[in-house]
Amino acid sequence: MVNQIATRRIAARGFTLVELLVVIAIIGVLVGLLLPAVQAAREAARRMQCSNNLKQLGLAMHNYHDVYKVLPPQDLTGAATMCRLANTNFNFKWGWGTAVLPFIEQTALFNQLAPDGCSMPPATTLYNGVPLLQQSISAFRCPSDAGPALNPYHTNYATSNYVNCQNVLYPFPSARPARIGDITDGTSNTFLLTERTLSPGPNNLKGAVGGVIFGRSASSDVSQGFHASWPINTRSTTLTATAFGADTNCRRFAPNSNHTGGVQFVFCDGSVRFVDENIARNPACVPAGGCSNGGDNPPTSNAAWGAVPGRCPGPGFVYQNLYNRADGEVVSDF
Amino acid sequence: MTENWKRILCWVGILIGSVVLLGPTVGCGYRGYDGDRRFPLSGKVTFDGEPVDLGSISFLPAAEGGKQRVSGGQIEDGKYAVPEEQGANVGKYRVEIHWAKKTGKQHYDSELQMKVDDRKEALPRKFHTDSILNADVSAEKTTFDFELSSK
Repeated sequence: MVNQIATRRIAARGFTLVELLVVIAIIGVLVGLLLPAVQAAREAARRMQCSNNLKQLGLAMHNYHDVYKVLPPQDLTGAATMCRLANTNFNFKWGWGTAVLPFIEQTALFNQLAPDGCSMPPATTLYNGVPLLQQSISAFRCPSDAGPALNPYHTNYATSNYVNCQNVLYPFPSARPARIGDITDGTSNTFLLTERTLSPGPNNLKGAVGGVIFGRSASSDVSQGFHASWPINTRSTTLTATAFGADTNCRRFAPNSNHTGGVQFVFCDGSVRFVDENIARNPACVPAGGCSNGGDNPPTSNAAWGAVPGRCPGPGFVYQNLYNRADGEVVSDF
Repeated sequence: MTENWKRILCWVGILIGSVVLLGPTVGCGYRGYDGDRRFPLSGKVTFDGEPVDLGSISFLPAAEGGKQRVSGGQIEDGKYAVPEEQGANVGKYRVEIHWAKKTGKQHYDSELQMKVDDRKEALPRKFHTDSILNADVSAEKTTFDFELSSK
């Protein structure tokens, strides 16, 4: 009897072949499940890099505000008499990207560009032999975006992936950009910057037009700003290789990115948050029939129906409520 | 015999434990959004028999201060379809419909450098601003057709 019990105890200590096989199978399944997560980690790293860029630009905006007591303008229009260069096309305007250069340790570039109250020169203009307006700055590029360094939709100025909330930096209606004090909804409830990827056509059914670092090109102020009219991650379906095509409903103004499921926003308090592309929004807030008077301009019958694009706040329209700096709506969780 | 049963129980325990641990990582049961269950919406919209070629449909919570989510989307060629992730919760909704109808005129769009159709709201206020339209969303009822009439 005693012997029998002893042998059984010894046998119970080891594992049988079947048990080991089952363990190996389980480990195999686990590894199989984890591998896709490892692949996704690369995109997660790129998103973090992008988030860091946005954070730096948000801080630069705040430092600019500390110095000038106002946020930088989306774009600057000067009077012809102020021009020292012979360029008088006033659709080219210096933008906030140039204004914050001294605050992201690009003072040398800023000094060489020497922006005045005049229009921005063409992209190929040489400064001491160098086309500085085609100078790429990594702080303005999202690593998830594989688009070209020169933006073909904006006469080949250096590409930026970051665009501003037009309700905060656009000079209308106060003729100057917002001060922090103008953001009465609270700085943590208002967008400041977001992303737009650059993936040009031709025949690209899901294109996006990116942005420009230094200012507004002649094409459109889509180079600088975004509207909260179309949902996050809306792509334009009409783009050709270098033009917007018949984008009459202004899809090009939407924020978008190659991150999964949404885009990142800098809020006016300087925080960077990822916003789900399915955030509740106002479905009627979509322009039709052209958007040259879109954004925060006064509505015309052509620019919109029902409401001005990007300015359609109301109860439950979280996306629009975050876009508008002074709509007085309570923002629920998003 | 009892030793074998212990072993079998142990393996069953390990299997259940791994399923419990793995569940969240695989994302089983996650619908792609947080909060209450949403339902996809779809349907057709006509005005006096004519399909609404370009417009919008909004599903706004009928009761204020509730937990219902606003929903809706674009109407194209008389049809709309809202995916589940952007859909409505169960409950009563007020529906607002807009139609940006071509006026027949065109204007020059300087950004697109082409002529663009003028469009204007073509529905009476009783279908949007002072809407009389309603929808009761439930798991069984997610398709809502609207045959609007000017009379």
